[in-house]
Amino acid sequence: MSLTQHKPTPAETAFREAYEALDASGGRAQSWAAFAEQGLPHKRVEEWKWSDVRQTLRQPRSQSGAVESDISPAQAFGTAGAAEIVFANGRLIGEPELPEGAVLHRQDEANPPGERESYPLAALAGALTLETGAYVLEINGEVSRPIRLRLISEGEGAHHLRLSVVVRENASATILESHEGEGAPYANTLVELDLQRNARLKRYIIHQGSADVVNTTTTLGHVAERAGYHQAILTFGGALTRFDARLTCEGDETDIRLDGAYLLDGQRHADLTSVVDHRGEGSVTQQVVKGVVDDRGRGAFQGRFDVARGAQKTDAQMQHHALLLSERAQSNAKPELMIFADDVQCAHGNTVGALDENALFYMRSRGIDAASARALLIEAFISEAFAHIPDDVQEEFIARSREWLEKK
Amino acid sequence: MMLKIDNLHVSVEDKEILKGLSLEVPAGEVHAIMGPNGAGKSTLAHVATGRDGYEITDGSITLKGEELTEMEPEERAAKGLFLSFQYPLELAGVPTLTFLRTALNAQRKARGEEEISAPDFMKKARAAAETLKMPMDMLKRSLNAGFSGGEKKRMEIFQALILEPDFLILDETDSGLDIDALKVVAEGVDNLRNADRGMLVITHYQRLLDYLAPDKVHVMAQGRIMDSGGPELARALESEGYDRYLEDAA
Ligand SMILES: Nc1ncnc2c1ncn2[C@@H]1O[C@H](COP(=O)(O)OP(=O)(O)OP(=O)(O)O)[C@@H](O)[C@H]1O
Ligand SMILES: [Mg+2]
Repeated sequence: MSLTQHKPTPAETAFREAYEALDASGGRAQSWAAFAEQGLPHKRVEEWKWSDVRQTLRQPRSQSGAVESDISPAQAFGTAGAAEIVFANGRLIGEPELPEGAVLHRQDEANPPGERESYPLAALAGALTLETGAYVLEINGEVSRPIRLRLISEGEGAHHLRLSVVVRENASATILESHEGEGAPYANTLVELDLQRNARLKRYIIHQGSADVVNTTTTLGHVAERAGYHQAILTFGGALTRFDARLTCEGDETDIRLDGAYLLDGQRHADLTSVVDHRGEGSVTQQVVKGVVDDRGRGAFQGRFDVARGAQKTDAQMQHHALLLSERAQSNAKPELMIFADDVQCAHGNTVGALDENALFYMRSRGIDAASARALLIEAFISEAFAHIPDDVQEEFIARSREWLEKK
Repeated sequence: MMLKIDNLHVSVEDKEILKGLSLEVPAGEVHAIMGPNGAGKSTLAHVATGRDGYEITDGSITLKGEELTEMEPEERAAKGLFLSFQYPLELAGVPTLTFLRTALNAQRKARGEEEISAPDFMKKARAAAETLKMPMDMLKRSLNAGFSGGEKKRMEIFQALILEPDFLILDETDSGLDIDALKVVAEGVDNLRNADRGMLVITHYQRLLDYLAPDKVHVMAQGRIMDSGGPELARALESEGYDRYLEDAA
C-alpha cells in the first residue's frame, strides 16, 4: 500500500505537490517519506476498517488558505474564562497570553523522530504542517488556570498542525480543546505529549462542526513515572472523525483516563481509537466510552491495552457501550487486552443495544412525555463517560449533549 | 365512579389474557384483587396505565368518567393514575429527585397548574421520606439503582406520596418487604387514603390487607373477576386456595 506500490490517489498526489512546495527542513522529509510509504489509510487496513480515510478524501485538496473572516468568539468552554491559544486552518492567530508556568514556542525538532513516522496521518501532519517543526506548549509549573486551545477549520482545503505538549517534572495543567469546523475542510492534527515524572495533564476535548468536516487527530504520548494524563472527548462527528491516542506508559504508577462520548446523527461518523502500552509497574488506566447513534450515523471504538511482561500490578479497565436509536445506525467496537504479565487486573466490557423500552414506559407512567423520557435516559447513559471531569467542564459537556438531544 | 372497567378483553401476541373483565372502584374505597399466578393481574395493571404490546379487542377503562384506552401513559398519569410496579425499574444515572420533580412538574403542566418550586418540592420529599422512614441518602442516588427488592417497593410508595395520584394500582407492593417494612409501607399507603381517592391493591397475602382493611376483595382467575366479597373472602382464600375458581372455569 505504499505510494510506490499503488497508484497514488488524486488526494495523495495533491499532498505530494503541497509537500514539494514547502522547504524540506525540520524533519519534514523524513515524515513525508514515511507517509509516502504508507499512503492514506483505508478500510482494508485492519486498524482503519471502520474509518476509510482514502475513500473519504477522494477529491484532491490543496493546502487551506488563511481564515479570512474574523474569528468568532469561542463556542466551546465559553464560560471557562481561560487563556486562549487559537489556530485557524493550521495557523497560529495572535499572540497567546498564557498564564505563568506555560509558554508556547516553536521548535524545529521535537520528540524523538521515528514514532510519528509509524502512523500515516501523524507522518502526514509532520510533512505538511505549515510552520516547519512543531509548536511546543511547555508547562513548567502548576498552572491552575485552564488553557483553552481552539482549532478552527473552514473552507475546502486541507491543513495540518503539529503541536507538542511538554509537561515538566511535577508540573500540571488543564487544556480545554475545541475542534470547530465549518464548510468541508480536512483538519489533520498531531499532538505529541511528553509527560515527565509526576507531571499531570488534563485534556478535555469538544469536537463540534458541520457534517462535511473531516477531522483526524492523532495523539502520541509518553508518560513517565507517576505522571497522570486524563482525557475526555465529546464528539458530534463529521464526514469522518478519528481521535486516535497512543500512549506509552514508561514509568511505574502512571494514572491514565481516556473517556469519551460520540453523539451522531444524519450520516455522521466518529471513531475513537486508543492504545495504552503499560511498561512500568502499578499503573492504573481507566476508560469509559459511550456512543449514541441515530439515523444513519456510524460510530467506532477501538481500544487496546498492552501490558508488558514486567508491568505487574497494572489495573486497566475499559468500557464501551453504545445506544442505537434507529434501525440503520451503526456502532462497531473492538476492545482488546494484550497481557504479558501475570499479576494484573484488566477487564473490558462492551455492549451495543437499543433504549430500554421498559424503562421508558416506567418514566412515562410517572407523567414524563416520551421525548423527555428518552432524553433523560440517554443523558443518564452518556453522563457516565463524563463522571470524572471537573464540575464546570462537565457542565459544558452535559449542556452540549443536552442541546443535541433536544434537537431530536 | 372513580375507576370503571367494563368487559375488558386483552390479547398479547394473539393470546387472550383478559377475557371480559369488569370491575368498579368508587372514590374513597380500597379494593383488593387476589388470584393465582398468571391470572392476568399485572396485565390489567399494565393495560390500565398504557403499556405497549397489549391489544384491547373489546371493552373500556374509564377514570372519573374519562376513557383511558386511547391516552398515552403520561396523559393517564396527569389524569391521576399511578401504578406501583410489581418489578420497579432501575434507572442508572437518573437522580431520584430530579426524576420525580420532572414527573411532578410534567403532570402539573399537563393539568394547567403551576410548577412546584424547588424548596416546596424538597419539603414534600422530606416529609414523604419521614413517613416511609427512608434515609435522605437513598434519595440522592440514581432511581432504584442497586436498591434491594424491598427498597424498590418502598420507593414506589415514596413516588406515590410525592405525585399524590387520584387512583393507585399497587401490584404486589407487599412482596419482598420484610415485616417491619410492610408495616411502614402500609402506613404510607394508608396516609394517602381519603374520600377522593381510590385504590386497587393486587396481592397474594392477607398481611397487607390486615393493615389496609379493603372495602372489597375480588378474586381474579383466567382473565376474569370470578368472585367478589368483603374482607372475609380474602381469609377464606388463605385457607382454601383458588381450586374452586379454577374448576369453575374449566
Ligand atoms: N408479553 C407477553 N407475551 C406472552 N404472554 C404474556 C405476556 N405478558 C403476559 N403474558 C401471559 O399472560 C398471563 C398473565 O400474566 P400476568 O403477569 O398478568 O399474571 P399475574 O396475574 O400478574 O401473575 P403473578 O401473580 O405471577 O404476578 C401469563 O400467562 C403470562 O405468561
Ligand atoms: Mg403480576
